Amino acid sequence: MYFKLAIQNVKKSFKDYMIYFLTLAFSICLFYSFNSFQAQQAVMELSQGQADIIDSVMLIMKILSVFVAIVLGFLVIYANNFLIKRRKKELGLYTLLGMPKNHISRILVYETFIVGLVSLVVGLLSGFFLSQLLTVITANLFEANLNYSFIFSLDAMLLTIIAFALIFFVIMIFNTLILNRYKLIDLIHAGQKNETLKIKNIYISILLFIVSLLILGYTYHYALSLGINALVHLNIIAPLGILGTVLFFMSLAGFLLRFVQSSKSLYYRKLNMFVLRQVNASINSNFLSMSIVCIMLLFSIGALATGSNLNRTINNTLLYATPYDYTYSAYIDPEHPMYAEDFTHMSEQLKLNPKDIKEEAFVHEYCSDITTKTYQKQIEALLGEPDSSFYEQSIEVIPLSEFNKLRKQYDLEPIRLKNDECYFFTSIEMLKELIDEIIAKEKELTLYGKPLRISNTDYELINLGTSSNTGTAALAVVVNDDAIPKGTPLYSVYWNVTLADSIDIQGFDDYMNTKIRAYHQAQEVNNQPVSYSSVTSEHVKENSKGLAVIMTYIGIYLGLIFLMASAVILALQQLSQASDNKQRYLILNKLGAEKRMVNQSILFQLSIYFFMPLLLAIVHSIVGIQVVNSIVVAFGRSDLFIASLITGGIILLIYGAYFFITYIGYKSILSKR
Amino acid sequence: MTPILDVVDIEKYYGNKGNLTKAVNHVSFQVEKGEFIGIMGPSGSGKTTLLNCISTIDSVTSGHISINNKDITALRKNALSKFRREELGFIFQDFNLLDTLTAYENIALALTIQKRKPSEIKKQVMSVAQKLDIVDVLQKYPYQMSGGQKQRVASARALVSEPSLILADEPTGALDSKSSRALLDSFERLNAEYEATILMVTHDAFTASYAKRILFIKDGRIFNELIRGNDSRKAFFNRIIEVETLLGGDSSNVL
Repeated sequence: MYFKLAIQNVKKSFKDYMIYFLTLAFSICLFYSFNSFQAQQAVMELSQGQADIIDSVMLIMKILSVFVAIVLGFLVIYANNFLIKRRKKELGLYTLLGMPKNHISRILVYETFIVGLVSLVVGLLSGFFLSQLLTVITANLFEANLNYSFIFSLDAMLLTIIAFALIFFVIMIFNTLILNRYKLIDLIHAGQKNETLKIKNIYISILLFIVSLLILGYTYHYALSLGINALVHLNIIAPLGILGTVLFFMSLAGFLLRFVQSSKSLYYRKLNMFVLRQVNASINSNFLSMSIVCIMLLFSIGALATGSNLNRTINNTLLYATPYDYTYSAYIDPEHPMYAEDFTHMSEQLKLNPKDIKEEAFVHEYCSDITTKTYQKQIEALLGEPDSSFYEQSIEVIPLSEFNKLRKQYDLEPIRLKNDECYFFTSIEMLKELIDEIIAKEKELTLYGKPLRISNTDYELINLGTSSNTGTAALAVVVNDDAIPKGTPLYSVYWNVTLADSIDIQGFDDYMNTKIRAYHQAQEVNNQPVSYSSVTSEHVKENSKGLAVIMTYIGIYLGLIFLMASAVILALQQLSQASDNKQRYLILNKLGAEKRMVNQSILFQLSIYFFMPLLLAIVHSIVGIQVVNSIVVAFGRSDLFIASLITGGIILLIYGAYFFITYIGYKSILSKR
Repeated sequence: MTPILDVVDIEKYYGNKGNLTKAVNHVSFQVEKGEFIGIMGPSGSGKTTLLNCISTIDSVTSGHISINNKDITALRKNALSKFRREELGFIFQDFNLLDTLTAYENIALALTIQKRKPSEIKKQVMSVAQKLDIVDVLQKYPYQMSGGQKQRVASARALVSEPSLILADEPTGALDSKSSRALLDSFERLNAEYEATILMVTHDAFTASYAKRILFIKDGRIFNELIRGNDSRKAFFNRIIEVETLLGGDSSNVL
């Protein structure tokens, strides 16, 4: 009988359960999808390296999922609490009729079970589909071939079921505890309980609002001025930011009220006055949750934007990081100088078959007689005080012919230089600002005793060979080949190879690894330990992609969870206030306010609660992403615009859906007799 | 002269075929402009249902109600809202003031709903506040006011839009006798000086004695009608009590 009652209850209060159900189903869907990476491997052609990456993604997702499960657990308890509150009167009736408490809690257990079961089924089903989508995304990120077939991960399903069974179990205990705490009189009079109303002094609000703006402004300024170092000073920035945010929401309603009041025609227009007073009156119970939501949204936006941005950034970077199939590079110790001739016959000495090599090209960087100290002024103005050893580094000099050959590989036009000209550039994104400043301000530089005019006003950030670091040339100058005196020692050398189509890059790399060691051992007879590295384009791609994939998924996973959590908190809070506000809307109705006007005022009110935290979070995140971006830049070029579009789209979809459901629910609560 | 309120043979049924309750059963009456009319009856007599029908909050089963020559039983939902805010003023037993708004704003709300101009709003609120002697509580919130003040603010809200008809449902129900008297005095004054038409539902004989005419309702029908004429209030009160005794049932009901 109790089971039947429970089913009827769920059916009857379907609209109340809607948000609870949606949240559960969505959490389950996310939880399953992001734990189903194991199964994805089956349908993709992945290299060993990529498979390793998937394994680490899986591990990270499992660890994250523990954290996510805890967050979801709290969220579900919060939602459940809301439902119990809405039904106090009904529970009171059961008690009044003489139903023992353990029987009532049995009804609640059944109800939780029914809703849990249905949302588990719906959530898992939608999770199956989302995981298909994720598979496509992963394949896309890896640029791997997809032998598409429906994937299913038993592991993920079991994990999901266990996690949520645990959450439901906690809820059942929680409900029983709550039930035992309530007094019958409270349950029966639940509907009539009035919240005590305290109107705060508006002038204090205005003062607080200004203070909050000042604090936020200062925090933004401080964070932006620190740039990449902002993360180190998070212990100052975060508390200041949180304080500013809390004060902002604490005083927002009062400020808005006073602000609109100053325009009589706006204040005394339709129900504006009512809505503003309403928001102001309930701000005490709302400001904390608005602040929390704002901060969660900030995390969410940050995670989503960085997640979607990083992959793009790395993809962009890859184009510049992999001009050749294989690059050997050596950094020459100035104590043990080496010369271009020492490397000229590499391929013969390594006994390579000339047929295997389609093309080989050297890029020599020569030491110069000037060091980075020449530009000390600009460096210190833009980058701050560097290590003292930094100033001992030579400006790198590259011969024009080799540079133009390299440019050809990037499909760039060759550059031309007169005898008294040079071309200044860098391949490190973080130094771009510095180089731009130098070529804008400095007309000339003196190299090997000869004055040279800097001819270029712009340059491409190109690498000297395939490299897993983005920057190979720091402060580099290109000059005509004969401007470099004979016998100038090398700074570094890049031996770039494009292999014949028939040659497997991995195999070539393996072969080279064994040979190069022997080659250098032979050279060490001259007591010259050479620090060298070699890398294949495949390797660079996989490494970067791996990082991109991991970061993207972490970003999206956490971003979505935080986004959902904040939307749910707001939605539930508004819905529970809807029933408290019912009386007020009834008065409006009696006074003859049109339905349309009332709906508008509900929309207006909900918009303040939903979009104010979003708005502030966006402002926060613009600053935050600026800072984070300076870190992402370290991985190469970034494209914020598209990342913002993607993030905006996702947020609009999920947040908007919750907003809409809240609006519908709010109206239905008000219209209920 | 056409009446402000013309109720013609209305019925209101609740329930279904098997179990029909006639809350209002063939009731007809008229209210002229400037009248102060009371409706009395024991609980369950149908007086609140009647008021709800007149106030357009509820619809009639049959019959017609015309207010200011407009047949409200033929109006649609949105037109009803418009009609309600332009032609009717409400005063409730529990004041129904919005606790988040100041007295001034509560009164102004009735006008902003009508989309009036702000300059006009201020003038009208001040004028009605003077009539009801609440100028000094205008900036206070409901929780800072006494019951009597609250009801006068609620009355001001009902009056401010200059409605054709003011409907008061047990206006003194939540007031002590002193506040009740003050409120009723102001009703009397509004009626006499400003020709406000007031229809008041009550079960309290003292409150009813302020009206000029009283309709008694029992079991959904008009049972009796009393007109004050030139009687003093005390005399009128005694006549009301007599009818009430009658209304309560004769001795045959007791035995």
